[in-house]
Amino acid sequence: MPVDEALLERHWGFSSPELGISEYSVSLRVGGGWTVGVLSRPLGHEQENGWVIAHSFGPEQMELQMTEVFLARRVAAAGYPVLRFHCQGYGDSEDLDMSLNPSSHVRDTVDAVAAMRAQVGANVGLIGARFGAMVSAIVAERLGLSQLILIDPVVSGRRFANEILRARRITAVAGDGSIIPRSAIDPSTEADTVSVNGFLMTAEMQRELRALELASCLSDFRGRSLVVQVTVKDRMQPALADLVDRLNRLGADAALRVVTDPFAPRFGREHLQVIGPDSSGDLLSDLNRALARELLGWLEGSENRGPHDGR
Amino acid sequence: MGDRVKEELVFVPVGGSAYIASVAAVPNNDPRAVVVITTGGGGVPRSHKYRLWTKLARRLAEHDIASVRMEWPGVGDSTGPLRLSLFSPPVDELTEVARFAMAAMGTTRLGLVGNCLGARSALQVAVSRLPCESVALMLLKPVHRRSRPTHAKGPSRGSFRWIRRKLPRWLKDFGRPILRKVTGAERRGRSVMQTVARLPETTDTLLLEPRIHQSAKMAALVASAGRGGDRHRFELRDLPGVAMQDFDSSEKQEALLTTLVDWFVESFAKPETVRPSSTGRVEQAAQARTSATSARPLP
Repeated sequence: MPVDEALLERHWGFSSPELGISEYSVSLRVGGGWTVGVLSRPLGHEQENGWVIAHSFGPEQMELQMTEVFLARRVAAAGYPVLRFHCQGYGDSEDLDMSLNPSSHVRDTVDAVAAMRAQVGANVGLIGARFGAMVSAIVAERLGLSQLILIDPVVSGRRFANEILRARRITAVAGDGSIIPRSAIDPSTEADTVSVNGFLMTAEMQRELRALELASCLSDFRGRSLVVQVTVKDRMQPALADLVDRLNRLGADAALRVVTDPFAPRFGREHLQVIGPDSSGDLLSDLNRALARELLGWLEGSENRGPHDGR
Repeated sequence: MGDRVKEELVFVPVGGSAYIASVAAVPNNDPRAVVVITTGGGGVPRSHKYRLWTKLARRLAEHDIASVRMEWPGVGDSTGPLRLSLFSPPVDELTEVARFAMAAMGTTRLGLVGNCLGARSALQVAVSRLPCESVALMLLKPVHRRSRPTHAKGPSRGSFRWIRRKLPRWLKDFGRPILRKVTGAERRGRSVMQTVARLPETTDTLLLEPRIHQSAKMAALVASAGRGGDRHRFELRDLPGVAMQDFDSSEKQEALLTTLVDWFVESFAKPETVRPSSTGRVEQAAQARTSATSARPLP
């Protein structure tokens, strides 16, 4: 029997009064290949501006997905269409074998913003968590977007690369023994290309990553932006406070919010854990709710102020 | 999505309010079978770690085998509450997605593959819900130790956490096997293989477990489950990793994908078998094959 295309088509999306949204799968062309995206829309009145979620890098992409989906649905329920998608090399994208690099993220996110503009018009903002925040910042500045939300942003590409490689070395020493303990301490003995959770990190990509600094990515951004710090203790991170000051001096309208949660260190890391007799739960569910509250509060402020000019 | 396969993200309604996000991979030619691909209980999305399941789906499509790779409720793009329990696997969700997959792909020939929680769900579906021609069950863990809860804050901590905290480690290690017997964890481990033994004889069954040569208990369990001369195929093979995160090298991934693709290609190369009746008795098999209970490593 042939494939029932009509049946597949009838299941491309759903409407959920409980969530207050409808969601549709979209096939996007990003970075020269096809990928899967999901467009969330409100069931009620729809605002004129939409959002695109830029996902994080390498293994963090999978760990942050549940947070991104949760935020996409909450923001959509508040009236804003939201698009989430996979960059090439991730999830359901066409080109799974490519070696990742920050510029491929930027390229694909630029394409996704263009696709979203075709759906909802020119007024599109970006939301990104961790490395996705850095990608969002680069794209927002390049395209002159008027709104930007950065959640627990990576401020230094060098530190982020070191973090990833250190975690990989520790896993390798403890796990398969592919690295001897001495080289786990001394990264200079590391091979040029390493596999981090199945993602190939080439020497060139590491160089590109290390050269990135969030502050320099936003040297000319004049839109509205929200920076959310995720932390265990209610203490502002100086690098983020400096970033917000700098943005405001540039003429942007930037705000910093701090969200505290005991499981904040798990943000971007494994967060589903055995929490009861033989069952798993999400340690970040409270944090996700708190993030949604901050985002929605800020968005409500945006509505009251009217659209920002951008640059 | 490439020359040989078209992929579509669909949302399959389950239980009235939840929608299971699944990617249907449709080969260019009419599919000769469909394989539903599930994940474990660690909350990974449908593509799985290292995009393994996306790669598997595309490789199966090259052999005109369609697939639907799914996420559990509350995971990835699926809606619904997150509920991942190894001893109460989500069976209804897998059943609904499998029914949808067969209807959409225009075939009644069904295969199931899953790891850990997904393997347990697939097992239960193949035993009691849907006629299934072939299953590949990874990390079913019939002799695996029961995992201990995390020291999490909030209501998740066990009622007896304060007792556990006071006890010395040696006493806890001594008491754990006794507790496992008392709480039934030991019995549940054994019952997994009893469920495997209840699979219809027409269902090709592949078990992929780590370090099988080191575990006499595993060999004994599998030997007892695979007993019976009428089984089509029943194989235990060595998995080169104790968990899915061990498949970060391209060699291991290739070995796993080749094993799974070959398994399903061979299963669906046979003519379709006639379905077992509701009592589970096989009325007729189009082609009876010799039982092959073996333990051989992945290629």
